[in-house]
Amino acid sequence: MRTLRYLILALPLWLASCGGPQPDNSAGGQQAPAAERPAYAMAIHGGAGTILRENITPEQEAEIKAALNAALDIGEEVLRSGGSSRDAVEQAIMYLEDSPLFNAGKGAVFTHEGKNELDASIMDGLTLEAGAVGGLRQVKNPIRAARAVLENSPHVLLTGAGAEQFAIEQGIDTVSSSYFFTQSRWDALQRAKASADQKTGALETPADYKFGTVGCVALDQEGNITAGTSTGGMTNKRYNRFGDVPVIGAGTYADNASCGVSCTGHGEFFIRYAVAHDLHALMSYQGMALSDAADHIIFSKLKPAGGGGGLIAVDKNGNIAMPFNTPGMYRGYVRPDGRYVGLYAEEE
Amino acid sequence: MSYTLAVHGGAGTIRRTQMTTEQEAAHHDALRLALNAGTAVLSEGGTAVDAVARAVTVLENAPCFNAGRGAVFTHDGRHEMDASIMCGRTLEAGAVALVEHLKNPVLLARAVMEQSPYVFLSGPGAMAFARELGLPEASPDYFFTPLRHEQLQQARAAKKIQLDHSDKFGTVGAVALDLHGNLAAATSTGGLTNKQFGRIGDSAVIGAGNYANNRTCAVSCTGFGEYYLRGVVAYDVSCLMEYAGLSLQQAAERVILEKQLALGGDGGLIAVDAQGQVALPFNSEGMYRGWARAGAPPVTAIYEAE
Repeated sequence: MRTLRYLILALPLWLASCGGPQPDNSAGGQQAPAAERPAYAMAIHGGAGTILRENITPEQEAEIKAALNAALDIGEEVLRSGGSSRDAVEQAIMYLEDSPLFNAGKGAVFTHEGKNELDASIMDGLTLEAGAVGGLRQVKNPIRAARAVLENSPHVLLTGAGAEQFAIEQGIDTVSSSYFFTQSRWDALQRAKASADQKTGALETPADYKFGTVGCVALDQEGNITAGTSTGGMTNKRYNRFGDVPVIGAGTYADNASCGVSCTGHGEFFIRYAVAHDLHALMSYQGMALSDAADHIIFSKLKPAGGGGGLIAVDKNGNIAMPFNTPGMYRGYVRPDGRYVGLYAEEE
Repeated sequence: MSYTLAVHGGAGTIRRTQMTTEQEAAHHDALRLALNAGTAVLSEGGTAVDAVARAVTVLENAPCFNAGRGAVFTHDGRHEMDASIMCGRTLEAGAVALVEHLKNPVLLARAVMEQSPYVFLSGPGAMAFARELGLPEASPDYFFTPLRHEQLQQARAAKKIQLDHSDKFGTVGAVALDLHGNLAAATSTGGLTNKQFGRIGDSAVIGAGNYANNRTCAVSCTGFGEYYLRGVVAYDVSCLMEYAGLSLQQAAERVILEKQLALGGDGGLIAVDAQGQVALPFNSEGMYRGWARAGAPPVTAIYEAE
């Protein structure tokens, strides 16, 4: 019975890989099987969405790739010198948060009220400890606050002004709200407000949308996996909305027994499908390979439901998967045997 | 096809010797009222979503449980409540966290599911949404109970967040299978006594404290929320059924009696599957719980082996 169910699940994937009707974003750089477990492995993302070559100048593309490469450099240096996956993930994400190119930290999108509300989470695959923060307005690097929740509090999820108070008590840097401002995100809010139904706010995912969340998953030389994610959320969001990023099991999950996962996409769908935990469960309970499980969730579960987005994942053997069902996803990985950085679906 | 409903009023250190006969009776009565409210919906062919919302509303209104009226106090002496609901047919979900003054947080969670494009709202923003909808509010007096206030004074004096299991947790929840074969789950809580820093537990988190999927089961959890968040407990029960082929009872026991016990997470859950089977495992000393099916009298229980 179990074998039969596996075959039924695997069939559409096999069809897709044979050039079936489904767009196959699992080609090229999206999968990196490892022959034997490498000393370390790390993957990052800077968000998925309507990322099309025709809308991005060569200069912008070079800038984004340089930022992704810089984050990979930072994480790889930690991992190569024997550092922990937790340090690698935190430092790579801090770099992406500090870059105005991505929707996290500086450069975060604006809420309906014209504010920035930042969410982040981190999980340790060895101990299954986790920390998450939601709705921060002054913390410069939300991923640091999430790590402090993991390490220095009995809690998992702290939010709003209370979470900010905790971060300040932990000595984490705060900034004035103007620090997060970027003209492009401000303009995006004005466009979203103009086009949204005034009664309900920005409810539909626009055809042209970038989920600019950032994330990182790393496997260190000790074999420990950490996953982390950070975001400004959704442009024009209201009512202190949280997406999947502060939700352990939705936007972030890690278990040394299987894999680490960081997601980017339409957060509401990623919560309802508990995407990050689902990948762990498909591997642990059904014995699926990382790339099969990741493709199954992104293309066979989320895409039919209308959930746009993608994920990055690293398994305990150093295999990497980076599937997405949107036109593009800023992404990259590094291992001792090589490195990859890409923006679009068709990139090799 | 028949209907099934299960409810809980929290798990924890519930000792027979510490309960008066009157207290026991009050808890049994409240659980039975909730079961009656839910089965009244189900027996008429109503939806599982309606039934769990009704049952949890009754439990929120009962002062003996830590949800709605009778919610525990935060460090600042306030009530910050969390709730969630999920429909197993559509996999739609709604959740709210840290709402104040709202009589029935579960109804706001339902409104988030049905009347907003979001899944998870919190704090003042969630309350702004509740006010736009005109959901009933109440003054702090309404939520006040002497027992919970006393617990806050004790926790403050000991300078601890109530994480030591010396008190029962008291979250409430309901899971249902309706006559149409649809599942739903709802959960509501006041959280931890003396909590601060905008802490949110598992009750507001889809997949952790609450989950429903017609393919597998509906689950509502109660316990040490941080461990339930880390274990993604409610969805894990579903995954073990769907991916590992376990029965509801096997999956629920694997999660509560093996995985959560190993991690250190005290508590329990209630679950119903698509065939109407019920599982109510807990690894604490007791769990306020009850269940009902068509054509049978409702059953309520508090301690182990009842």
